[in-house]
Amino acid sequence: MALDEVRRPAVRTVPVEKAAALADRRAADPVLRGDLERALGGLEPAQREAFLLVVVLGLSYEEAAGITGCPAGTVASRVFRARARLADALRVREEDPA
Amino acid sequence: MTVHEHVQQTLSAWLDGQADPEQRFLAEQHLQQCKACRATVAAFARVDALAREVLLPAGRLAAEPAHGQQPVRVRHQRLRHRLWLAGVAAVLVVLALVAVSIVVSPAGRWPLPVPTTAPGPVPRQLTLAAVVARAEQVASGVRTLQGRFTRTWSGMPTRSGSSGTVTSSFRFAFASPDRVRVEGGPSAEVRLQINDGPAARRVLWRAEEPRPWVSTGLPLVRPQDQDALAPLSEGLTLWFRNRLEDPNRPASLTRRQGRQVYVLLLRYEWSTAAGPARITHLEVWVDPISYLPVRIQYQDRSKPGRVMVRGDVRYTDQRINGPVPPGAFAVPVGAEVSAVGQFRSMPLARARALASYKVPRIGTMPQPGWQLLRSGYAPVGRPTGSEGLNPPGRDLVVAVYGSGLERVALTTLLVTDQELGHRRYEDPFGGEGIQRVAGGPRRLLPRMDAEPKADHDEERDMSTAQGPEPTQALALEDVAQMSELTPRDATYWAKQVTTLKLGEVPAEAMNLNVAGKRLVGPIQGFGKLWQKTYRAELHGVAMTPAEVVTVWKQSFASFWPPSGRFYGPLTGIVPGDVALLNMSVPGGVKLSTGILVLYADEESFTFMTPQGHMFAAWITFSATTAAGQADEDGVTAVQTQVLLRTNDPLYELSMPIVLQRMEDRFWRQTLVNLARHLGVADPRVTTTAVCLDRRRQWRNAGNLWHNAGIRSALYTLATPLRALRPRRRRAGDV
Repeated sequence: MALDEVRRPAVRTVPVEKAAALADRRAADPVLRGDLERALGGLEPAQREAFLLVVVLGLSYEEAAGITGCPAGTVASRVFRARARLADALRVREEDPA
Repeated sequence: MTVHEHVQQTLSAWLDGQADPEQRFLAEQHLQQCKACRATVAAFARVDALAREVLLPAGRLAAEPAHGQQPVRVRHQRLRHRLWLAGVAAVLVVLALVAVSIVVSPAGRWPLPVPTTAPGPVPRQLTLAAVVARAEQVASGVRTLQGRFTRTWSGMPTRSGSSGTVTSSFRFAFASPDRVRVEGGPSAEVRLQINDGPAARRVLWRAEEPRPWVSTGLPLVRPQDQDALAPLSEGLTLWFRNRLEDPNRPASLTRRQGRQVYVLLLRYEWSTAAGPARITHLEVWVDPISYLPVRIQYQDRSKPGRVMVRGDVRYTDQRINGPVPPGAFAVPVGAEVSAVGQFRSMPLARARALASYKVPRIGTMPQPGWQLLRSGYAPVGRPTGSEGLNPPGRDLVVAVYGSGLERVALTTLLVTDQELGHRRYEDPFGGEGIQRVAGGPRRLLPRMDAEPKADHDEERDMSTAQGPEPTQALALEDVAQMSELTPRDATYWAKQVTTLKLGEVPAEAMNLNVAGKRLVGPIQGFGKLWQKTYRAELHGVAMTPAEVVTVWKQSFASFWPPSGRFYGPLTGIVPGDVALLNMSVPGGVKLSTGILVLYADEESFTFMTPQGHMFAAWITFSATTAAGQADEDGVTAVQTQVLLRTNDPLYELSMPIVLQRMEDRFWRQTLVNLARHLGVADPRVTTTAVCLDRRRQWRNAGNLWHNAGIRSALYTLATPLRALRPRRRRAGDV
């Protein structure tokens, strides 16, 4: 159910002035990036938060745990699940050339 | 839960450098073998990289903190740089927490809207983009960041014996740009303090358990700064699991008798960038029972051909409450270490012989209740200190500091007191060790007083493995390429195989029970664990071990007694070769099985057996120069050492009656044949059999299914039937 959400990108409208900015940022592989962003959007908020804190910002699990107010083990499993789902979503794209 | 499943769940934490040591060890071991897990890690790494790429703008940021409202230009910069930014951002996040906590909802949640998925205004909330923007602004003025560790022990005495709190600081070691490795022991308080720049912060914890990694939240050194900060990059810390606590180790090692010694062989490779490096090699010998180092030795470049040995390493619990007793090698944290008088020098050949064949006399074996205080060393000169507090039964830490250190690899050997030769044990790093990031520090020209590179090999030859130079570093970002890493001694080892494949087989050979079988080591076997050693001294033969082994390899099959036929490839003994064995066993049955050449170097080679073989075994053939003789004219000896369990209950049943004797006769005859061939008139073979573990592994009783004896017998019995059947059925017969 949740996975479907990730896999089936929702149709989204983007303001024109924002689209330019986004396009600018998606230099290398816009498709993949779009996928990632959609997939991130599809994550549960807690997972997304953990993923951002740990992976993107590079915090340790404990630091992230301090921020989110949950045990480090929970952060770890959220990061794991977030990664798994993101990887899944991205792989779906890669394997689906059509 | 299988190892695979277990590891799968820890891969994420491993990737973040947050797995605990045990998980780390398991994961790294497992990753060597498991393609699926490597793929998972690679996929995770890809996701991470992409996420950082997308979410962390690397270019100039607009002043407007609200995300996504301003165009953000992307410069093509390296991921590392972004990581660095991420790190700075992380610091800011932490710093900002205090401020933000006022703004944030009482629940303590801190929403982090993702660009494009959470459009709309986000007033008064700190967004990711805002953090990054601020980080960028702040960071633009910061070129280098420096830090120090401060570690505080309570009640830990200094060398001079004073007790109380000792605070000392020293340079930290790091293994990736934003992660610092900390050795924290029981009751240790570890403070990490970063003094420099706006990123200044502190991390403090009291650790009951060691915390091997600290994410500093910011890169301490950016790759481009490493040259300027060479002193910071001097150290590397090894963190490896204590193999001695491995449940699979021979049970006898848990007893307090016996004198096996594990040798932790630390192989250093130094760059010439910082001038001639002095230590080229360091070994710490650890007694498996007490877990204490009993001997330390190293090689000093300035003394070619000699090894500096300190055999009398003493430890005492007195250090907790009193002065260090005379003779104990104890170095306070951060102290300058003078090795003068600590080590004696001995010729390389003798050290090698000792290292391989002789157990050091553990005259100073500690009494029960003594505790290991320190397990790592950097014993000489410029290296300033190293150590790890070692909770009993947990990880052993060896930290090494010294300029120019390029790479540290670790090999664990097991040496026993019965002149049984050495056995390669497992290398937790798969031969790779921990390396400095390639392409990081600039290679400087060697100084004029640098010694010629030629002696490098000579000094290194004590290490157990040589091979192509490493080009790949194992940094966090390189995980995706892990599968491309090749251990240095890869050429000596057979490639990883799941099931055996046979090449061409002579027509007369019975080819059963080999192709498609898995390999089994003693761990997978059923019966008692035996170590049997057959040894013959080649008196009057003036050949080096390498020459003897060359002969042995070339005509290996010809030395076998007539009761066994060895059908191997014609190329001699090459790692990865699979050979077919046909053995005559009592009862007139011919038994077909095989072996894989697991390892082969100049002076030894090792076979491993497949499922169905009588034994789940490693069989190591080696030639050595006996120790204790004069350095040059020692007698060369040939040896076959078998570490085995019988493979299934049926074999085990016949072990005392038939197999034991058969095995003994077989290898004794082989050695006699070899010795005769080399010109020994009356070769004597000594046999030593040690039962290392009396327990039988009933969980492996199912190996009976593969029993090559039964299958061979059935095959033989079914021969007339088979002749009547259509040929195509034959494949399914066995």
